[in-house]
Amino acid sequence: MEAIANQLTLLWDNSPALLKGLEVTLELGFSFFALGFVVAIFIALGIVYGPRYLSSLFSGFSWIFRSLPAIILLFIFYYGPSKIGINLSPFWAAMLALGLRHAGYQTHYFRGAIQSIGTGQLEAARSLGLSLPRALFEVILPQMLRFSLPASANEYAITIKDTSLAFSIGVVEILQQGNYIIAREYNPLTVYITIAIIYWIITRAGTRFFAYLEDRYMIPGFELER
Amino acid sequence: MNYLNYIWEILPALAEGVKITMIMTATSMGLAAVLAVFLALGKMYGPKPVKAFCSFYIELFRGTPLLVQLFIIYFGLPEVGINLPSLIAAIVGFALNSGAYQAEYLRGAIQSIKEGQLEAARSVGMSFFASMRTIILPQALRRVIPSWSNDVIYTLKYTSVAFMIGAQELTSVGKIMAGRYFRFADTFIVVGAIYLILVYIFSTSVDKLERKLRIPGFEMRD
Amino acid sequence: MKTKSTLTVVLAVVLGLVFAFGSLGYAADKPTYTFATEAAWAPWDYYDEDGNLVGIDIDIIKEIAKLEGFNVKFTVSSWSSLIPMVNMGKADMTGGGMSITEEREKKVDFTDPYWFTEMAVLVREDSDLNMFDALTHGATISNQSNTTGAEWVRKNLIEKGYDLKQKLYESYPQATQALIAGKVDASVQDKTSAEILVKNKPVKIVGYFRTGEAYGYAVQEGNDELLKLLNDGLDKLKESGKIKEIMNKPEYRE
Repeated sequence: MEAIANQLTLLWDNSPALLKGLEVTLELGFSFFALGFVVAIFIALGIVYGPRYLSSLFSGFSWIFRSLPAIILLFIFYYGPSKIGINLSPFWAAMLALGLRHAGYQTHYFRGAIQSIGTGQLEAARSLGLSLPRALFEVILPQMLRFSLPASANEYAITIKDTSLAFSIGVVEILQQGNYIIAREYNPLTVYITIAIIYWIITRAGTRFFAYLEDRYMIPGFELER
Repeated sequence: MNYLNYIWEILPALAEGVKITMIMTATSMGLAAVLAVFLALGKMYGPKPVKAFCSFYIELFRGTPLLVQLFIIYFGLPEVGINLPSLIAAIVGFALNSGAYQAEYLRGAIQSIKEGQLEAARSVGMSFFASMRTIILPQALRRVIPSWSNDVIYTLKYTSVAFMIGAQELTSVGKIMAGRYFRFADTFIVVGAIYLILVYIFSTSVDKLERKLRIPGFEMRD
Repeated sequence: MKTKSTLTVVLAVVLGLVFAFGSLGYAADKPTYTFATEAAWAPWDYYDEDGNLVGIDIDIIKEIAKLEGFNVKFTVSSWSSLIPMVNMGKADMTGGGMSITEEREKKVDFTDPYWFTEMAVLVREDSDLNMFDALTHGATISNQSNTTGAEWVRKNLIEKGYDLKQKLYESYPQATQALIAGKVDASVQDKTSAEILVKNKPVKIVGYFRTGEAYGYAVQEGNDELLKLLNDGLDKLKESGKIKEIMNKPEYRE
């Protein structure tokens, strides 16, 4: 019992460091999620509606970024650019690596969503005189975003946890802060369990938020044909 | 030495790493599949405490990062007396984690089979377990193949973090080589390419398997 | 409805980018050099309870910066990436109980040595291995990746055919934890920190061996200007006895 009380006091003393790490985790998580999301929109539209060569190129890109382990991507984006003279900070290397990887997955979901919307709509929009960009962004896009919400929610749950890998290239997020505490106090069980709980809370909160989005934006009757 | 020479030089060591990666993936996937059946059935049909435990377990392992789970198993458990060597700790970690995800996929697959079938089986006198074993599960397992294979690929890729708990899989070897020869980007691109090859071989094999096992008319449907 | 969803997406992107860029900006006035540190190895560089970056090397570098008139910004990264970072120019200098070796000299330039060290062999408190057994008879040894300890074990024991295994970890504390937990039989580490570990961890030293190595700070190849500043600073500190003073601070000896 005394040991547990001891551990709890230790945790409390070190909480500022953990909170700093949490801040970085959230920064990184939201940033790369947003980046991947936006990039994916263009890539998905490119794959479905673009010319043949573009479609294949983008599909290939999506496949590569989905098939490479996250940590390998992190290493490549950290050490690679230096070879051609660009120096990325750990945070930016992580942003790009995880963001583009997320784009790979998100593209996949957007494609599924677009395909269930059907080709008829684009034709109809164009026959009414809408230019291609307008047709894409005003007719297809909103539906695509709506239909991919459940998959995006799932993706969020998976990717936010991948920020935990960023410490391997030097991003001092919450797991690394935990490692520093353990390097001093030698109490891995307590610290890692605490960090696991914090991640669980972030994941749950995010999924809850997506559920809220789904409620607000899903139109009954227009659900994804399963 | 130039790039090709370098790749040639480190290939034997990388191959050793690939072996370990495959062993890790295969073993943990096998264990996870078994675990998933128990978790899924427990969560759907078990008595209240079992249901609660299974739900909690699934929630826990899906809601926390795999790396943190591995750290807890390898570095944390010794504090309460459980001491696992790196490879075993990694396999246990992947099995426990993947089991949770697979349980959910399996649950979805089971639920997609018309409830009537279970009722019918029971009404002709079959026990719950017999109905599960001979009627529901074979169908469910067929339907869960796409998600299951997805999870295998996911695990295959995630073995790449096992180096952090001392396992000697592909990424670990890559890191050591990169440090020794001081060629980081080069090494990781090669390692990445190897992962891509592994993933490609695996996905195409599963596609073939799926096609062989497919029974037209019995696909996953509402 | 469509404007709303587009707006949300735009907002999310903007927020995301603001977060990202916000973390980049800071203003500098005096020449500022970045020092890359692992920050996970007491007493050389680590975080104390209040989250401050402290340690013998941290203090020495801060002193040199004061004496030679520049600002120092510390950036933290994994041990294995410290030398690559300086080599690639991602950081101006690095160190932290870092030994000067021929291999490393090929990638970076080192200052003159400021401290000499040896290797110590650690085993658990209750173990009855002596140094000879620990290093040769089928034991498993833990090291930190990319350290002179790891290289020594690899070149002098494993490659010479002795019957033992080596487990590599990302940081010395993890290598030590592995020893305490019983995952390995022994650990080979730098003498200074080993002697501090035995004071309050259930481990003991069963032997030392001389490797003739010394610590230095590393800068990018060809960065003679910074190298001169560091060497000047080190000379001054050696003369004034400040280095010994820092090393003997009570918090670094416990």
